[in-house]
Amino acid sequence: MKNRKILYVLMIIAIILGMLIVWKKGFNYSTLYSSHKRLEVAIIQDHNLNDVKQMAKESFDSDVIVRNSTLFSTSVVVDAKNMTDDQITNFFVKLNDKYGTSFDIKELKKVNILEEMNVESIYDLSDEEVNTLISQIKDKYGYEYTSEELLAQSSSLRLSDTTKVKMFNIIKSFVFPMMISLIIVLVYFAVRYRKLYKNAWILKPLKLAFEMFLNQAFIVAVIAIARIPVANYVPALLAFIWMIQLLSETFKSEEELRKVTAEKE
Amino acid sequence: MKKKEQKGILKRVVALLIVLLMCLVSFFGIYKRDLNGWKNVLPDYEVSKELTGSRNFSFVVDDSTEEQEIAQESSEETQETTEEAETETETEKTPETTEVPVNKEEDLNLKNYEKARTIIEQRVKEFGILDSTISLDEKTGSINVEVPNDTNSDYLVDLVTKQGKFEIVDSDTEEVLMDSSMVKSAAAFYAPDESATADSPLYNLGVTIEFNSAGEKKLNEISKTYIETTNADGEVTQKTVTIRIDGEDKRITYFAPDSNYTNLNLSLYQSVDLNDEDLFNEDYRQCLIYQTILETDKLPITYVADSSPYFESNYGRNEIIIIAIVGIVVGVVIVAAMIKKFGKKAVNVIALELGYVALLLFLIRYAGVAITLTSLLMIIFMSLINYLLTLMILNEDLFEGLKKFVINMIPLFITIIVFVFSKDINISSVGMVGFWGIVTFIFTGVFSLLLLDERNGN
Repeated sequence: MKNRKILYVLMIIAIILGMLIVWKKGFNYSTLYSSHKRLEVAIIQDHNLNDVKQMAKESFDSDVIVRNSTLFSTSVVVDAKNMTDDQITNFFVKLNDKYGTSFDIKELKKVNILEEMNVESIYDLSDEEVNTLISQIKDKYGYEYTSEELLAQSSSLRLSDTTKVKMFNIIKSFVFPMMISLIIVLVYFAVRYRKLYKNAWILKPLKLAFEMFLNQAFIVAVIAIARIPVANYVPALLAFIWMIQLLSETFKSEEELRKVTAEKE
Repeated sequence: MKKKEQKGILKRVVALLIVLLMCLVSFFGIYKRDLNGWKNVLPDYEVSKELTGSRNFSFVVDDSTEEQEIAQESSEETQETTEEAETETETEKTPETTEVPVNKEEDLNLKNYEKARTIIEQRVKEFGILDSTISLDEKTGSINVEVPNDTNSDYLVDLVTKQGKFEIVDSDTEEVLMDSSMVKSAAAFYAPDESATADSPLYNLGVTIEFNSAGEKKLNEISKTYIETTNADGEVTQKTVTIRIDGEDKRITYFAPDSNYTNLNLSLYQSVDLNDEDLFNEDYRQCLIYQTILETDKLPITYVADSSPYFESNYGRNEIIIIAIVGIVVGVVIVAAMIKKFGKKAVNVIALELGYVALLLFLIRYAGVAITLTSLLMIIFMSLINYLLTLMILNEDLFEGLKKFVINMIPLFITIIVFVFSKDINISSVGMVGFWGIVTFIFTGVFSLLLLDERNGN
């Protein structure tokens, strides 16, 4: 009993610590669940995904994710928490060497630069305006475009920001069914184990609810403290620990009931 | 006695052969010739987007403008009505248009972005897409929706880009008589058309809209005004209402004044031939989209589709091979432990475990349960629970063991059954695997009688 109390105190301290970390730093989300950059590259020709993965790992952070994109695997999509211009250039150099393509960061940056410079349609500009724009881009961004490059339509590269999926949104659909099932289980515990000891009809369900919540909060706190990357495994982890704990509590309570019944007999 | 023992052995052998057959069928399938190759006649497993691939729809806040009519007072004239001896002022309106943003500047805030995200999530689930991941860019309001790449995914654009603004307006004056706030629920319907024949089964497809109490009251009120009337000269005139969704006229109609209205049947597609199955299904899907957008709140912001690329799963072949190897290694270790613990009986215990897993996988295939990473774990979890059942049966009398098992499992069974009804695929697939796992315990109970019960020869 004393050990259990110490354990409760330690768990509560961990939960408070976890809450502080979440408040100050938030969770550490895995790449696909974090706010990250997504680079889509239309390679078109046959490519080996493992080779592209290796190139991406050498160019970006180690937690970069590379997948085939489009139904016919003609493109790859690279997700990474950070993508600097140098990293992207490095990646393009590797792709160009391997596949003989001509990807250039200038092509990738063009759309964003035109957006930033409030150019709605490059085709509506006169030649003179295009030339002025080219020199403005060169001064501001350091990229030198020809008018043909600016006017060329390109759909082979795309860089976008992808927003994070919040921890709450990952687990919220799992919380509601757990609450419903817990209420039914608490009623079952109240009825089934009411004769275990005095006021067991209320104390037993309350203890179960407290321990179930404590365990779940503790796991989430450990994820926050240890900076374990948050992804879609979290609901699964919580659900399985929930079910295992429920089984363990039921077995223990059944054993207690068996002993009490045997003593009475 | 000897005859009874032989009978017992025969029962065990038959039971083992049945289990073997179940394992072969479930793990390897049943194949038949199909053109140039062989085809498994068992249905394929339904696999979630995290294991196959997904469409990633990106929606951005609509920053375009639209033409809007502005009412401008151009002239005023005073008219005296001699009969009623009163003066009334009539204002003649001349329609003029102006360019206004589709989304008002003041509407573009975090509160509305969050609200839009919640409504889109509800719509996606209501439409039956349980396997979705939705993220919101809190700065720009852009929304990403990741869904499995199947026939439903094509309709996602409609679910997000339709605002869901419902209106019933006076066809002449454009006065809004009823709006979205009065809608309680909606349900798609198809009903035979009056002109339908046996050769040409024609149907009308649409949405039945139920209203809340304020809506019902208003509907009955307008149903007395917007009717067909005949004057003394026999001239028939109709005062009509226009039913609009997202500013688009869907129907112009009038009411029967003597009826008491509780709902409205909005027919969207008339005389659709059931023989043209593709068209019928497509039109019905559109009705389901209207059902979904009317069931949920109106979006506070209008979105436009930006891109919808397909991404393969990031769990590659290598990861699946690793999981399979780990599974086989764990299986071998468990089998070795069983042989050590149960000696000769180990064959029967292993048969019960393998048979359980085989039957569970078979049921999962036929029930169309979507396999997620979580439900893969649930299969392992349920087979461990099955092992627990086997141990209880071995340690106690068969029926005592079963009774003890069921009593100990009641809270878990409650949890599993509640999970079945979840609208999230990760939870519902755990619930479904658990449910079929519970059903499959019947197999363990029956086959324990044949394989484990020492008295089965008697």
